Amino acid sequence: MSLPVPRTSDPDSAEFWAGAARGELLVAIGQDGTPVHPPRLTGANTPVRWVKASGAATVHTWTVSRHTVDPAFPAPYTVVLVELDDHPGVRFAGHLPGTPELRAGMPMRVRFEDRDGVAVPQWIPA
Amino acid sequence: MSLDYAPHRDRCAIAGIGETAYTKRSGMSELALAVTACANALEDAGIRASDVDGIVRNDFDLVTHNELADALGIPNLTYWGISGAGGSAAPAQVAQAVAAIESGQASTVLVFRALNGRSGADRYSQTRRATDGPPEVGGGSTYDEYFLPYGLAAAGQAYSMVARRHMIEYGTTSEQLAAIALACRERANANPRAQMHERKMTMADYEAARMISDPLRLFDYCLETDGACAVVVTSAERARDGRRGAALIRAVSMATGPAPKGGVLFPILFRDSYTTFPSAAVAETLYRRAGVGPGEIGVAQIYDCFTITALIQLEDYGFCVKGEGGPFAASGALRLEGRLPINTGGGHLSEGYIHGLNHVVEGVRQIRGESTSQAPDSELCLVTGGSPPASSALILRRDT
Repeated sequence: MSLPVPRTSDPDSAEFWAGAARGELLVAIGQDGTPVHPPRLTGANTPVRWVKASGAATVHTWTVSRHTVDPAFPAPYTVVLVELDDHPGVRFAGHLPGTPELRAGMPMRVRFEDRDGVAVPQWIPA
Repeated sequence: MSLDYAPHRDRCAIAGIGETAYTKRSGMSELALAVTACANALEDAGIRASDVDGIVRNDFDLVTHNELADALGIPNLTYWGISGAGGSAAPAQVAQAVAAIESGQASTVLVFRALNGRSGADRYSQTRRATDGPPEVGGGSTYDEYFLPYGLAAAGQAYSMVARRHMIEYGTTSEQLAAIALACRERANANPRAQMHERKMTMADYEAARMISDPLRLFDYCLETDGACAVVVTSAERARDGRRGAALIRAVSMATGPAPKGGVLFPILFRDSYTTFPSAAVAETLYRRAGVGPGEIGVAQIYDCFTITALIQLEDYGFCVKGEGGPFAASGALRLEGRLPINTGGGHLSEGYIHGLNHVVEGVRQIRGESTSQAPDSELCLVTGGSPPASSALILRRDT
């Protein structure tokens, strides 16, 4: 069972995935100076630039999956949601094998996993 | 412009309710389920299919308005509507029927939801992706590329992350979530139609059940159900001429709230807050339109795809302050003799999961005084829809 791979060709997120391929975690910044996340290249706050985030974040929430719903991800495993230190409110999901000890506010750091040639941002304890 | 009153207040009513059995394997098509529930609702109302001129379906329904009208022998539909997404929309479907009637586009509208939620192909407990298809996920404004690659695949995982965050922010506990599951189960034990009618549950049973997606256990999850519900919406005057009288629709409300985010479900985790739902915005409008507040609501059917979904709505609808949903639930408030009996047929957790519409049916039973768990105060019944990604609700009132 192959792991799901992010589509990197979508117009709204292609720049994000191109950044990830360079090892950069990009955040879209809209006309009013606030992040547009997930990125969406249209609307009242259309992104005007992409900025490189530091990659430092903290744990916002998580769940430990004890029941397999996707055969590519056999239980148990953990899904974590982190919030970026330098862009408050901007969050990313990550996959952690097994059942690591986590707590709210715990420092995390981005790393990029190569999955079928696509750089997928993941989060590990800092 | 915001209105401090609603022209639709008490002008429409639910004249009839209908259901199928709630099972794990219906052995019927979704169309046959829909036809059965609609025929039962029309029989209950004393209204003929030939008098129906409108249908509102759910965007997750496989049955179309054309096919249902054809199967029921409705001679001509002058109005049809679709609301969604899924379980957020059962009260919104009724609201659409009210809008059609009040604008003169229809006089008698069937609102239905029919699904083989357990035996069918589309089980909501399963992953959103086609695991036998190409590995690429996301794009097309689904935003799935930010979630599915991490093993976030089913709704229960997102709600588990919501529950964990509520625990982090407010100290909510599993025992408090259990109080919701146990209250619903008690009501199901009194309701012969409920899937969990024969199955008693104790706190020890709840705690011993397997963890599905920590912190949510088996009994924090609703049932997967085959079945259908239908209600007949018409003018209050016409409903009063029917067999069962009028369960008045006091007011309806829908809301996305600010910056709701796109996609289907997972992007709610990127909202400013995901421990307050769009229900808070629904409630503000609903109470204003109804001219009543939470203190006057004696019984409620609260959408409970998971225990945490109901807990957060207790706060959003103003029955307690934000963060106090856990202690409120654990205080006994939700039991039949408590401050706010909820989900008096057993709810989605223990009666069946007809995506919100069985809550509307049970709300009508409360207004009629015919529930298997009749609340002491049932003049006004709140019925809420699922939440997030957007939500809806209505208040039913006894015709006096």
